[in-house]
Amino acid sequence: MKRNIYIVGLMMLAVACVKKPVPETPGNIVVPDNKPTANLEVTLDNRAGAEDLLLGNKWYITPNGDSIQIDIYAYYISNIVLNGPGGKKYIEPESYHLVDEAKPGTHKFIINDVTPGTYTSITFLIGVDSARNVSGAQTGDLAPDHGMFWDWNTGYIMAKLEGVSPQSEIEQVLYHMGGFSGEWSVLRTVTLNLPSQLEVAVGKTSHMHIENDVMEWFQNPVKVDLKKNYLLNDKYDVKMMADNYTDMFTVDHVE
Amino acid sequence: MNADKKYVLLLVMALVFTACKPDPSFNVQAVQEENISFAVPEGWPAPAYNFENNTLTNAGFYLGRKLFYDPRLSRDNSTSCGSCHQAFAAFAHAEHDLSHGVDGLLGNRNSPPIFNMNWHTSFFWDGGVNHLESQPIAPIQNPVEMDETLPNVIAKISTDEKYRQMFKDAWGDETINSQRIFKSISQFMGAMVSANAKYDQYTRGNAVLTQDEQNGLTVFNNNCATCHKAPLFTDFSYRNNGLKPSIFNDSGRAHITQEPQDMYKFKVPSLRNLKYTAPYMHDGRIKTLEQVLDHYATGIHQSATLDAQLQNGIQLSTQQRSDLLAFLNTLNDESFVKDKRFHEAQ
Repeated sequence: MKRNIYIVGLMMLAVACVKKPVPETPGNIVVPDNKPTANLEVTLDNRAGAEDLLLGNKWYITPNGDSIQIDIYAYYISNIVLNGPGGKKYIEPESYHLVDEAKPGTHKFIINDVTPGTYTSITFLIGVDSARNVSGAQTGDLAPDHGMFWDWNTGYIMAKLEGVSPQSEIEQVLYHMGGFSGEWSVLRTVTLNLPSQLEVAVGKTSHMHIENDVMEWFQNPVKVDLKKNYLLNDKYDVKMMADNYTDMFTVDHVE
Repeated sequence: MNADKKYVLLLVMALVFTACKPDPSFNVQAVQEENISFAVPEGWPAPAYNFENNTLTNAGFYLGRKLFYDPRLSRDNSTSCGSCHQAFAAFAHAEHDLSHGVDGLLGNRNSPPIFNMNWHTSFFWDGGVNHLESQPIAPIQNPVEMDETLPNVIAKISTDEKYRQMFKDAWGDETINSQRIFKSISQFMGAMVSANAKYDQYTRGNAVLTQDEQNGLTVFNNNCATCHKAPLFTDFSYRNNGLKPSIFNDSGRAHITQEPQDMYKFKVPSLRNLKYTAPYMHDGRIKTLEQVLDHYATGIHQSATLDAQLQNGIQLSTQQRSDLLAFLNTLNDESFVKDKRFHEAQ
């Protein structure tokens, strides 16, 4: 009998302090458990033609022959999919990555718990998908704190390039790429073939090295004249630039 | 049960009661006393924002309220959301055509009231913001309003122990980030429902309109109800209501869409709580409701995007005007502006 009372008492103690469950905030980082997983580290290596991109204090010549010094360079990639033989796909959950040249910590990220196997190409969106542009307060890379969010006309700045150029009549070059719906959306999906097969296996971290060539903003299909386009003046300019930079990514190597 | 066993039970019970002693910094009594909840009023449409991804709790609401009234959200700690959205003005800015932010800088639009926000699918006079949780970012960052950065806001309030406790109460731990800030402010704003005006009591069968008010309802239905659609008293569309562009030449909705057909269009405001929200129009240029009716009668400025229904203005007899004003008075919800839950905590 005494034991029963104790047990009842302990049970009461246990239930008396159960906390109301706290609403989970979307986008919280999921801590992986300890079992070994197959991981992929992705590196985004920003370049200017054949050279490594350096912010400030370095002049580059655009395909049009204009001089430019780049001070800010950042972009989102999202919705990463790895494609393998026979239609096999790995879809990264909650796949949103801000790459900011000024913040070295953003030049690499790890995708945990990739489905093991062989992959031959990668598909992703340049920018943040339209759904997350209309879903209210986000966190992590999608928090509106990174200078990549328009507050007066809601939406992410999908890619941002700022610099200076003597060809610009205001001396500056300011490209803020945004717009996520309809025919003027700047969102572009790219699929990059891998130069060799990517093997992802349990207990190891594979690597993918993606290069981004900022000079592709200024050419193909339209060669940009900085005398004319130091700003993006209207939706036509914005579309031109999105079409230009669609081919700025290549996979240099995987290992 | 013998005496020994009774003592054992008492001891266990004592343990149970002391184990959960409330944290003295947390006002349990207030939480239990106040009903912070959201319900769709009878006969109203489904809201766009229903707290589905942001569970409304007392702790979240109180945190949102503290943030709303906190001038530390501005660059020089001078201006809070509540500076230009005052409870007694139904959360508009009383007697201000335009509002001043940090350093006394003036904006170029009238501070809109805050109530029934959950039914809105766009925010600001030009509808540029598409989500309630994304709304507070603009005034915080606007150089002529609060002119502060989000990292600075987070840094400033993170030094305040009271905030850390309130974030823990609302969100489970002390982490302060912009998402939690905006979700909390949205809990505060979203809980502000104004649905207890005389008109609402009338539609629920709990009040009777006077003859003047009844006649005014007819005038309203014949002349105003298309754009100012009940029960929210707006259809949430953007329209050019014939105001001559001011020196600001505010393009309105076209600023967002870049479409010529949206030039000088602004979001149709609700007609609820007009008694508290003067002055009127997107730039606060009209001081009284009589003058608003004068505008619709004789002040319409013709332009390419003028609303089709206002081509000839709205012509009312003296009697109709007086009846309409009597009806509009039934849309004032005194219980809302006096609701202490929405006032700055003392």
